[in-house]
Amino acid sequence: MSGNEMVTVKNLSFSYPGKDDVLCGISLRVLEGERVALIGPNGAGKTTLFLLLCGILTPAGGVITVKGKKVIPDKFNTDIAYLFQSPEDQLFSSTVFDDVAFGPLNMNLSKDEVIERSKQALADVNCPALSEKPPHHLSGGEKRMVALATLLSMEPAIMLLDEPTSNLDLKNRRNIISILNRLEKTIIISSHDLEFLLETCTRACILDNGHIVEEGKIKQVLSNEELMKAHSMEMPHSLIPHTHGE
Amino acid sequence: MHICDGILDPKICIGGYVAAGCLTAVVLAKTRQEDVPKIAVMSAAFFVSSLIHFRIGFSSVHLTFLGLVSIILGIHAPLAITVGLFFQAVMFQHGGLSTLGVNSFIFSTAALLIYGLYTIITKPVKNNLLVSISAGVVTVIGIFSALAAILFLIYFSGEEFAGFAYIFSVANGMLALVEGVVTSLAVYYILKTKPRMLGARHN
Amino acid sequence: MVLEYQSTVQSVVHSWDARWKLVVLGALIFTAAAVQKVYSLLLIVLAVLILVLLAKIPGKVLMKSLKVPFFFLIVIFPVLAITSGGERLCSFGVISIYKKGLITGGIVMVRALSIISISIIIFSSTKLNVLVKAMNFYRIPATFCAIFIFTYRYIFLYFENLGKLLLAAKLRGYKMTKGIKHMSNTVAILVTLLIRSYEQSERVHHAMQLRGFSGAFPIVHSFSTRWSDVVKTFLLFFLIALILGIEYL
Repeated sequence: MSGNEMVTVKNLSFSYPGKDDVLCGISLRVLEGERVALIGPNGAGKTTLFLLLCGILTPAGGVITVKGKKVIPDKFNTDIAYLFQSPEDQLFSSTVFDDVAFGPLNMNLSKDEVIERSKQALADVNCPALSEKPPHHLSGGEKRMVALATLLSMEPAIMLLDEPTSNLDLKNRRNIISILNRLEKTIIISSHDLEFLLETCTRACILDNGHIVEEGKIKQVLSNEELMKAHSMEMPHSLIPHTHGE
Repeated sequence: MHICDGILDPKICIGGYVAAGCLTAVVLAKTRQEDVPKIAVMSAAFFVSSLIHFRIGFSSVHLTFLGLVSIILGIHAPLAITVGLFFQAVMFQHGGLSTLGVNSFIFSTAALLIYGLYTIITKPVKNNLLVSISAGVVTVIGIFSALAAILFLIYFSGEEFAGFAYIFSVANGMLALVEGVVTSLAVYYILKTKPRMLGARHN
Repeated sequence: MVLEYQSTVQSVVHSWDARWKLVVLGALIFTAAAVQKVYSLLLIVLAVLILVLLAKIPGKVLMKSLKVPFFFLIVIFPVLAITSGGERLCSFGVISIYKKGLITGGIVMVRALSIISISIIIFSSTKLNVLVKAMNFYRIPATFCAIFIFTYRYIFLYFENLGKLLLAAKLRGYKMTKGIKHMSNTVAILVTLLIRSYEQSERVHHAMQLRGFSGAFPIVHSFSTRWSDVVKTFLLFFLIALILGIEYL
């Protein structure tokens, strides 16, 4: 870890029209190469935070910088990529290859480079055989892998993953873990799968009611039973102390 | 309600493509990049919805949902209609490819008529029930106007088609009334659950 | 039956440069719409059968695809036969069968089934993204092509969603019955699908923006015309000219 700040959030606030504040003056710093788990109950504002970091939503207050540059809403930023909760929102082309190539093609790369990147991305997620298939012929796990490939082909410096293991069987879940652990990128993951986060992240932030209520080393945060309960969560099973014979 | 292949004079078919092309070009000029996913997604949803059966008397019918497409998509409805008709013809062999231009132009102009009438009639109306009923009424008007255009073209293709045109008009005339009722119900539900779908003024 | 590109098949039709295939088969469609004489119709049918064989479309697939339009046309045929007027062939009480109606019905059926078969040939032998690239080549606006591709993708998703909604409703007593209550329940299912689709369209737009979408849908495919493509195109145009010559001269 070189210590460069990749994502900086200062006093960020946001609310949807006609609704209460979703995020209330939160601040966050993510360094290069860090793996940060963003956890919290449903409705805490995790997805909203991700959408703000990508520039899809415009903050009501505060500043967001990515790689030292202020995030400009609605501007195509190849430094940061977001994996949606549902792969159906992310796969919109008629074949897998076209979907994976979509991002690089919009980056004005040469045709050869687009093809190479797309093939590499599919290889990285162990799905080169799916290249010519239409998305509607894929299983749920395959769709999730291909959705991940659509981000990898853009070679972003930062990846935001929203519930990457939801609805996945154990095999595909293990696949995602090994892929993420091979990548040398800055990653922020939002997930309720705490065991998954323990295997892939080094740091955790708890977001609840629009505030970051705790930050720290992931084992330290997740093993704080009182803290977890206070924010409608439970400790991951592997951190619960078991006595011999139970 | 579409005209299938094989009936219309080829000059009418080509004329239909030219007319549909011109209308599509005008609508495209008013289409922004951010409208594309909404038009495509709604076009797909309508295409799939048109496969739902409604039981009427002894048979079941498939509706076009022309009224709903028009009211939800507004001036962009012609794009969704053209693409939807194309996929119906290619994927399910409903309607026709040689007659795609004609079908597209007729339904697109009917859609714009429905949207225009809906906007004018419902502008001063706040009551959801009245808005829904108005939506149904303008749908029936729009579909009858499309039907009239189709009948005119069928007659124009040959006097031997006169009997077929009469039966076609009776069958689809009844269908238009069903479309009106369904559109009213649907608009009523949408106004209760997601009024924003019907335009900013319904917020 | 839902028609889709058959990626496992390789044929002279599949390998045909899509730009020329689209134009020449499109011209064949309009030619089929124009013909009325017996010899022209026979040549059209022959051309279609040869193309179906060359494209290696299984007979079963073709028959299944033609089933729905066939049943629709089978209804038009007797309507035309008994309502067209002109020379009467025979009568059964008040119903008369007219020669003009029989001939017109036959012509309509042959034309319609030929046109549908040609469309099956085009779309089962050409990938949709290649087709859209060909549309781009002919200067069809990029926005329209983008709508095309996205609509295709989401049709399948919504089939699945509609299926799930109907299943969930059936498990709670929904039945296909008559009356306003059934219609009301069916409309509620439909509106649910539409609202979900509408909300999804906003997320899809975000996903597209994040990957640089600016109105056009970029496609990797490159066209290259070979001599075999020139020969195929020329042969078919020659056939079309022959058919039109027989029809109009």
